[in-house]
Amino acid sequence: MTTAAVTAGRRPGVLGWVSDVRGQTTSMRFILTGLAFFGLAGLAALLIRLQLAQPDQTVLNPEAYEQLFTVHGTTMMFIFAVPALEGIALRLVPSEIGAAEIALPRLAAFAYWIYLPAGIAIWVALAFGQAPDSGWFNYLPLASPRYQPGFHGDVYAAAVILSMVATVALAISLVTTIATRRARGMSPYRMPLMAWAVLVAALMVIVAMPSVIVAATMLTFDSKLGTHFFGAAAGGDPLLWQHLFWFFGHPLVYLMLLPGLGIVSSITPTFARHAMVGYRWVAASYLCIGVISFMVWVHHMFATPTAQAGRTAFSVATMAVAVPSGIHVFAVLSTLWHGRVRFEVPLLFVLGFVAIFVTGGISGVMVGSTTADWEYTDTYFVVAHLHFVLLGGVVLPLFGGLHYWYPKVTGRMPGRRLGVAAFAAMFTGILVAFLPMHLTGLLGMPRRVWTYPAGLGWDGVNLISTIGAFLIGLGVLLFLVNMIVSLRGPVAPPDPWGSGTLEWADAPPPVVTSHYPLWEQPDVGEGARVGTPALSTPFPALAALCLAVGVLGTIFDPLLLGAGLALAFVAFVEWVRTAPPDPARHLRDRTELWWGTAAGMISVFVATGALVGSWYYLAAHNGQWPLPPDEPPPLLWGVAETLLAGAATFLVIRAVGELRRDGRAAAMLAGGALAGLLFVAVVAVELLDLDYTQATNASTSVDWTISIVTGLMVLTLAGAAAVASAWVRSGRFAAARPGGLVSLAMYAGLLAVSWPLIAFTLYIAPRL
Amino acid sequence: MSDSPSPLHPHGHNAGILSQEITFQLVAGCAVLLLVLGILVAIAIRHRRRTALEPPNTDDEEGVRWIWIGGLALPLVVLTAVVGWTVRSVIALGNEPRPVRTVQVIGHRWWWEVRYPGERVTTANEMAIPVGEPVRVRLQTADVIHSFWVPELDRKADMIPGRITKLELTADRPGTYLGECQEYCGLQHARMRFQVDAMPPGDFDAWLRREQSGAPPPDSMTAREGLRVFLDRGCANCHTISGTPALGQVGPALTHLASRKLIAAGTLVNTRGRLAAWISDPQHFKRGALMPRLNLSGPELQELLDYLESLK
Repeated sequence: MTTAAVTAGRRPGVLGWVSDVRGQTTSMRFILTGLAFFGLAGLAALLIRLQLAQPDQTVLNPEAYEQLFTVHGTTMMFIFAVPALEGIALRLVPSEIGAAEIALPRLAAFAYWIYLPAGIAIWVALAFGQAPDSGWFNYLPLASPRYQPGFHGDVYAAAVILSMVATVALAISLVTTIATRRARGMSPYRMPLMAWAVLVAALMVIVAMPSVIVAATMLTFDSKLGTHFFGAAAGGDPLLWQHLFWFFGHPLVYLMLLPGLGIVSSITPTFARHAMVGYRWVAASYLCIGVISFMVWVHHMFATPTAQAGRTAFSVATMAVAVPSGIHVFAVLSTLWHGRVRFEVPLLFVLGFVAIFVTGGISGVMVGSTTADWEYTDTYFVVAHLHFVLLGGVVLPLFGGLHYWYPKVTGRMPGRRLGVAAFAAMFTGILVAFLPMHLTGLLGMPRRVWTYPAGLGWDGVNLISTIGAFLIGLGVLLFLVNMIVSLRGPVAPPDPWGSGTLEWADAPPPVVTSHYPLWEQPDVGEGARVGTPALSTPFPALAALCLAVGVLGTIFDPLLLGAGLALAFVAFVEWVRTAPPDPARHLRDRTELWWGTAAGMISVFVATGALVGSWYYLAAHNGQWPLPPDEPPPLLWGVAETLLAGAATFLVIRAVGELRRDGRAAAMLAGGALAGLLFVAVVAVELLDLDYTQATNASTSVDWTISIVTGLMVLTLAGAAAVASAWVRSGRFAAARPGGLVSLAMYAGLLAVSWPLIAFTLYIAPRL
Repeated sequence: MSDSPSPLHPHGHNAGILSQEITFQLVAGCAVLLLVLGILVAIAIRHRRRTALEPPNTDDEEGVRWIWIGGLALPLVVLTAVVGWTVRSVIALGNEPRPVRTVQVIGHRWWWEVRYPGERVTTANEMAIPVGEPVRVRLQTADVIHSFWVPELDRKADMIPGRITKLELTADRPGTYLGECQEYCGLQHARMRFQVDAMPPGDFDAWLRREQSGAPPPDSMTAREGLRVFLDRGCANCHTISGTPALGQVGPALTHLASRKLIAAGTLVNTRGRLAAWISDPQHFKRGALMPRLNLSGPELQELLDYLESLK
């Protein structure tokens, strides 16, 4: 945070504050903002529990209740957990692996400024009674203006898009940091387990989030442009939303869990004075969790009319994920047994994690059975399960980590007594609130009900749960008080817990206690340097805010998105222009920009896959496809577009190679831009030539969307190539250092790979 | 808690199979949990007096056996048993007897339309079935996703727009079994309850015959006035009373309203007083429901009630 450290190039005032792109700043912003939203969502939960404490109450009316429980869920899942955990990762992992600063700091800063409006939008909407109100998974057709009139669904879609883009951007920065900034000798097998957990989690973000971004975009289109992705009346399918959502949603909970497991793996060895038993096992378990979690999403849909054989297969895969989790838990238990344990506050949180998370894991295996789940799903049993795993696997480790790394970040020791009291209240509160909910669910109480009748046996258990919820709130409050009060507590020595990992080698921020620190505190100067800070620039924040305004603008008018995108493009160009040059010499140089772009391209490819995959899903769902009056477009258009797309991508990729031989590169880039623009023109003519619109039925909707998205992607390529051409001509890219052009070439390569899939889907598949 | 609509009180073939699986899972789960908690307690006791900083041990191979046994072998054994039981349930559920009768249930916001195709019976929020006879329930929705569940008889199944889902219900003994909507469907998801009455086959046939018959003609002058109120004041726009000109399809059929135990999808008991309160101000009980306030005068309301009470 703002310490006495030397801060090169930090400008004063609000502009300076917005331009600060140092990793430490961005990470602390994510952590503190995330925790603030945690508090808000927690207050919403307390209101919910007050309403449910007794049967037939009207503490909250149904509308208020709908919005509060939805905002509780969306805030916790989208606005608190992943951002706060990624923030902790961003703060700790660089120093754990020996890096002085994060890679791609401007991208991380961009992520923060895109994320903040998402969280604010949800809560401002709540103040106006327009917050999302169809649950955090926002099932259709309920979440459409027809059944929930107002802006609720649009706010949801915009908040999802923004917050997910933010988490992907931050994940790209994390992956790149781990890939490129490890200290000498720190091979992947010597990385702390926290770094492994964060690496897997970040990779999961990159692959999972695009699915929900595509789904939310389709939702916006259905709402504002009249498309029929999810409307059964015209060939769409509400289950398409569920598949797209849960393909993201299930990995989401595991990528939230993994940093928690990483924190546990950081705290345990320190207080056991013993290496984490079975390092390779634990690292492998993180990888297994990451991979398996993408194969289980249908377990959220066991009560839907999906094929029984498929459900059973997904059930088996769901069980399988308990194995790597078990490996991790027993590694922790073994380490604690064989070590010499001191029961400091962070370790108490680890013990709490074991008890609570394992309970949640067991109920998870129970709901993982496709048959038994027919009795559990949509009852309070699932509410019990999810809170046990999230509170046990995410929240308790998170708070343990905050206490653990507090001396590193602030230079002070966190208070012990308050810490123990906070833990005791939180742990007890979790048990009192959520253990009874297993019973409540087995007595038949459904989820998401604003009230319930007396006489069904649900009264007493609900009251107990409410008391427990307030106890959790007390614990969080005590923890917060401890964090604040300890800022004036005793100064912390450099490695107060006696840890073995590298992040404690950085001196903590200096704590100045006199007017003449160097006279009276001779060692204070050791902590004064924080490594090479990133040079400040306001353009990441500007680009983010323009994009955020554009996306939020779609709540009111889709055209605002265009304006937002255009402005964001301008800010992005300035960002790239003022960034330090990338040292890449050719396409194979694995620089930070290379890694970051590669990770980003994976996300874009997954998004394209989700969109194209939806075409095939809807085709399979409808007996006849395309749905009349939609018909396969003339092949001539497809041929023309293929030639133009091929030319555009080929020219851009070759231009990077040409840069070593001067001169022709600018012409090639310009040619690529022109080909791209012609492609967009052809797509526009093709769409205008149709005698139906995107709103006619589901197959016109998906065809139109694929065409528009492809057009936008190629338009972006053309625009970037045009700008790059001008820069090359002006000599900005020296011949031997093509730098950021490599990223452009990679993007072009992605388009070249995606186009055949798209072209096949639009032109050939409908004819089969 | 015998009042609770609980899957642990099975009174039907399918619910019985699933209840066994739940019980097995609870037992196995508690066993594993006790083991892990026991280890935690043992750790706490083993290290209870440690405060000094001891030299660190960097050997990460010591204790790996715990991972083999507790992290790999134990889960594999337990999970195989759990999966095995799932497969057992799948097979057992597939072995249920073929249903003879079909009942169609259509979910609305926030009530249940019940039809007996082939029998010309249309009712709402209550369903009668003969004891011991499997009944196929065909589930659809008229608007958003709902989910049908009668915990004591069978599993739940979602009702998805554009699709038809099916369940087979069999009740072992006579009784009234509560169900509720199990997929969040808007403001009054909490007040969308359902009842299945299982009765001996003779009683069921009698019920069916009663339901097939149209509404009895009004038996008093006030009741006749009540029918006039019903037809003239807009009720007939939404509700059907078979045998009268009232043919509305928007809301529940009311042909035999007086023989229902609950009204407004399980929200209120069907007494004259509650019915009066409901008709006077539906929004008070079920905000957001499509039924408007009718602003009937006092005498009109009493006449209407007299008529409705005659609809047995």
